[in-house]
Amino acid sequence: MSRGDTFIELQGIVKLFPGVRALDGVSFDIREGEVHSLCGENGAGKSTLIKVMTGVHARDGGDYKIDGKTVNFGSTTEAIAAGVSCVYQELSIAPQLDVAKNLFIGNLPMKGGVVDHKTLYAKATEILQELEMPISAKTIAGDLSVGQQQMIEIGRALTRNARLIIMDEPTSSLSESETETLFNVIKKLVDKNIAIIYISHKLDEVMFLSDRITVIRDGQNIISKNKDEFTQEELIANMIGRPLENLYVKEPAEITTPMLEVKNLTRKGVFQDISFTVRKGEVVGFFGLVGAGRSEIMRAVFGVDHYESGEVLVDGNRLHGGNPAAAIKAGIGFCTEDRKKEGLALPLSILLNATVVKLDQLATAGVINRKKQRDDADHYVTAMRTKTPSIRQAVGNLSGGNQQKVVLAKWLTMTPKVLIVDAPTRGIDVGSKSEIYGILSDLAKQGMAIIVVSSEIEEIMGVCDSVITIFEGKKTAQLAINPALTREQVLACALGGEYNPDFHEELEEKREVESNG
Amino acid sequence: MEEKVIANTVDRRKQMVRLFKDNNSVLILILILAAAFIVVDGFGNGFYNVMNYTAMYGPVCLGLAIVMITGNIDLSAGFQAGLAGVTSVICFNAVYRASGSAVAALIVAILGAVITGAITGFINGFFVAKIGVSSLIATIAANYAYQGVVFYFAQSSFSPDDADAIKLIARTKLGGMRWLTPSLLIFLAIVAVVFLWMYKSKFGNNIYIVGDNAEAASYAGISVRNTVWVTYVICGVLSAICGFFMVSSAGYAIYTQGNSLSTLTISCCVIGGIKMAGGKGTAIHVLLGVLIMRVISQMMSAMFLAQSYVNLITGALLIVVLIIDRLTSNKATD
Repeated sequence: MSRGDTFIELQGIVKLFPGVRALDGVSFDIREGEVHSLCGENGAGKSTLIKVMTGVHARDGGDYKIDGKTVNFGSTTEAIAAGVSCVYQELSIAPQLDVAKNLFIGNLPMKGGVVDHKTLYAKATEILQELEMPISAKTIAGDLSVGQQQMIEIGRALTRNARLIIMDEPTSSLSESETETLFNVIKKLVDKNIAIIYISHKLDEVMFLSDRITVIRDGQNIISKNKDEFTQEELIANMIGRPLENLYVKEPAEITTPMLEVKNLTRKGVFQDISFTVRKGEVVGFFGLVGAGRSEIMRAVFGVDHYESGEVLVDGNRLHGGNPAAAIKAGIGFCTEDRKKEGLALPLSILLNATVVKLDQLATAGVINRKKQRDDADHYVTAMRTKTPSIRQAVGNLSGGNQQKVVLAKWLTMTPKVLIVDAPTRGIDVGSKSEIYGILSDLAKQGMAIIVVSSEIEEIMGVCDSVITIFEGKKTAQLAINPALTREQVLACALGGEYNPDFHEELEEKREVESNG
Repeated sequence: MEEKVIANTVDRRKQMVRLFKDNNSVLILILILAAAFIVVDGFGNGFYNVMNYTAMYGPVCLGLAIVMITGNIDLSAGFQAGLAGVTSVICFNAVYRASGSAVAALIVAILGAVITGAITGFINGFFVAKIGVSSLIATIAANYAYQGVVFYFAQSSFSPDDADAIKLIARTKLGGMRWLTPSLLIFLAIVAVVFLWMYKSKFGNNIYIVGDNAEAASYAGISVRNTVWVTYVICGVLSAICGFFMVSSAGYAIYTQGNSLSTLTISCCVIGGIKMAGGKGTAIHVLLGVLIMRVISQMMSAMFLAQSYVNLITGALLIVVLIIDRLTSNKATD
């Protein structure tokens, strides 16, 4: 087989779940050594398709061929043996085991009936070198960064001689430099004639990496083309089934009195001397690289983390540090970065999740007013057009976008004066993103002071009135967002410099090189 | 290249720190206790008691530890042991009466105990691994059931026809030393075998993966169900060995054998460094845990402390160990 030859074909794949046609005749093919992106909104059927390909689900119709032969995988093990591996969105690292054992999980080298530890560590070291990871094979996997753990998963696929590696949202929790490393590794894999199926909501990544793109909607493949034949707008239009006029929604709001004032906030080794003001009706963005301290500042303002000096004022009243309950009472709402871990109790109902911060107010003498609780939850869930059969549904069953709406609802039930949203659209599809931006814009219009923390520069520039850049724990600039402000200016400040034209040129050059390469 | 060297050093330092963290509660305690113990007691009666209890309760702790490493628990270990003890006496008497040979009876008694343990372990595994009942609830229920059977047979003491024969395993003084019994040697052999097996065999390695991240294990083609099931069978067999040792030590079976064994075994495992959340620990940890628990209670009885104080201190110690573990663990949750 040589590069560019088709080796996997899917024809008219059908997968039925009770009451749903999750896949309704999907057909596409994979060529050796190509990066093939799979795009579609949440619920379009991408995950189901991947599960059919990797042997998690059996298909109910259609044909699945590898090297021209029909395959019927009964388990992931069989798919792996046939060369189809998947790097899952939820990492499947065993955190207490070392790197070598994680690489060869379920596949340990054996000699004479016992595990051959010598070969194990020698082979693991080779793979780490191939992945350009300067760590020992005996490092405990739990000590690695998320990006490194992801590399281990890719390495795992290599130990199994994968011919196709499926990557599901691989960059959703990676820093910029880790993302870059991942892209380098993808290039190397492709050079070795390994095919990649790349799934991401980040369309600029899709446009940068792919050789071909297939769009899936409502369980059907809509279009399959070479990357060069697609524009980003066309891609979005195909994903949501209509042209999207405006992804970013930001209507002008009346900006009045200061609502949140932060003065000289310092936490040693994390952030220093942070001062800023957010006024009624204003949306302020916080931008910086992952690890710059953006989220940590917000955690301190909200009182989850302590700070050593400085003060936080809400509506003119000084807020005692290190006390989230006081922050909530003073009127701060905080939608955290990791909604599954910090924002929601997944097995519990929308009803309880949406009203959990308000239970105090809903209770008389410790007894909750159920009717009022239901009405409150109903009101916000409906107002945000959350797609769910009932508010009694477990939050874990909702899509990412709808989960995020429940997180928002949770804070809105207590009508906060200040709303902090950290990475509000991470892992959310393009249609829901736009809806969330619309909600934020409406809230600002109603007079809420809003902070948007994000590592997506377009998002910040699309929905905020001004942006504060953070570099290594320091505030480097606050820039008003207007048509004259460029992406590069913001980026330069976030990288520690002030806006400087030379740097701007360098960046432009670098981007040109990237896009040519 | 230089970068790599630095990274490797950092790795090694991390590993050392981790080694300390994993074992520090154990190490600190061993140092203090061993010193205190020798001072208080020397190699006399106390030493015998420690070894006797270690040999007797060691196997069941080891069995529980293997189950705990998969992230589950077995609270029925006590009456799995009790039941196996009762069965061993029944088997012993049946063969002794039929053949008159004490040796044949002894062998069948041991086999009977082991098979009983395998069956009870299999039943536990069926409910936990196959049906998916929470291991906590399933094994509490099983403990009641096994206790019921034990009560039926052994409401008062239930004696073998030749008590001396059955005492051979736990009471023979090898080399004239009272503490060096066949049961102790058997236990130490089991520790060695289990230690190597868990390090060297594929299945042994899979146990850690299942306990550390069951989902990762199943995506890697490891059957979580079978792995957990087998660990329950192993735990049943090791509990049964404990049950037989108890009978062999006492010379009879009685319904109190197995009482409070569940809490004792969990304490030994936890003190030894087995994590409730799974994925961590070796047979050596269990051996240390059992030794430490026994040394502590031996020391207290040497000081003629009332049982109420003994219990209080044992409880306090467990909490201290867990607090040390918590404070030195770098993760927010275990």
